[in-house]
Amino acid sequence: MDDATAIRRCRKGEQEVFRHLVEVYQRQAIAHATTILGNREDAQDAVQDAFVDAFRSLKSFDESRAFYPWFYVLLRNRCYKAAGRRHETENVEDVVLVAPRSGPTTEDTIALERALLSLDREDREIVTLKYLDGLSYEELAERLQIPRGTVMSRLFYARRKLHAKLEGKS
Amino acid sequence: MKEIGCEEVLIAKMAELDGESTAISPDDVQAHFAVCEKCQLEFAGLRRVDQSFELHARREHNADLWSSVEERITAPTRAASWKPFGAFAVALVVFRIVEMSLENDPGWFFGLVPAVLAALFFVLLRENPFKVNTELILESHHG
Repeated sequence: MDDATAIRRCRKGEQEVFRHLVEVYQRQAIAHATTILGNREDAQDAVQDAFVDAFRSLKSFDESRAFYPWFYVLLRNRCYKAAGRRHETENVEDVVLVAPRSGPTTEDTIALERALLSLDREDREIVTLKYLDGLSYEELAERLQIPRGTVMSRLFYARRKLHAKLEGKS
Repeated sequence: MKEIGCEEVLIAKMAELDGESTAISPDDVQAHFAVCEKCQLEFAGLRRVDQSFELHARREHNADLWSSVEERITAPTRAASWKPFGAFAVALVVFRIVEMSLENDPGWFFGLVPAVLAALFFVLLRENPFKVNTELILESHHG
C-alpha cells in the first residue's frame, strides 16, 4: 500500500491503516528525534506524540505533498517542546547518531558523534539533515520552516562550529 | 567588481559545493578566493567536515510504536467525555428533587444514593479516584 492510499483510507475512518505509516516511518522518525533531543527514550515519546498529532491532523493534510516532510514538522514541534521540559541526555554513551558506512576508524565515529552532541540542537539538526539525509536547501527550508537564505547561512555557521569541535578548538 | 566579505564568500562557496545557487556570482566568489588565503584555509577545514560525514550514515533504531500509537488514537478524547459528567449532574438534581418532595423520612440508606452515584460515575469513567499520580514533577526541579 502506498502512503496516499493509506492516508485516504484513514480519512475515511479506517484507523488501523495508520499502522502502515507508523511502520514505514518510525525508524527514521526516531533517528531524527534522537538527533534533536540527544536522548533515545525522549525521542521515542516525541515520535509517538507526533504520530498521534499526525493522525488527528490528517484531514488538513495536502495529498499532493509527501507524508514524511509534513510529519517531520509535527515531529520537530514535539521534540522542541519536549526539549524545553527536559535535560539533555545525562548518558552520552547511550546515544548513537551516526553509523560507520565506508571504513572510518572507531575513533573517527566517536569523534563525529561527540562533536555533533556538543552542538546546539538546531545546529545538530540542520547539519545532520544536510549530510546524513542529503536534503537540498529547498527541502531544508520546508522541514525547518525557514527561508532558503536562512538555511544557507545557518548551515554555514553550524558547519563552522562543527569543524571547530572536530578540531578540538572549542 | 563588487566588494564582498569573507563570510559571504564562504557561504556562497559552500552552497556552490552543495550544488545550490546563490545571489553572488561564481566569478565574484572565485576572484575573492584566488587572493584570500584566510578563506582558502577555512574552506579546506570545512571540506574536512564533509569528508568526515561521507564515511558515516544516520543510525536508525529498531522500534515498534504501533501498539502504543493505536491505543492512543482509538481512545476516546477528553473532549468527547462530557456525557458522564452531564449524566452525573442530572442524577444529582433528580435525587435532590425527589428528596425535597418526600414528606416522610425515607431512611438512612436514602442518604447513600449520592455516594452510590459518585461510585458509578468513576466506574463509568474507568478512573480510580484514590489513585496517586506518581508522575507529577515539580517545575522547579528542572531549574
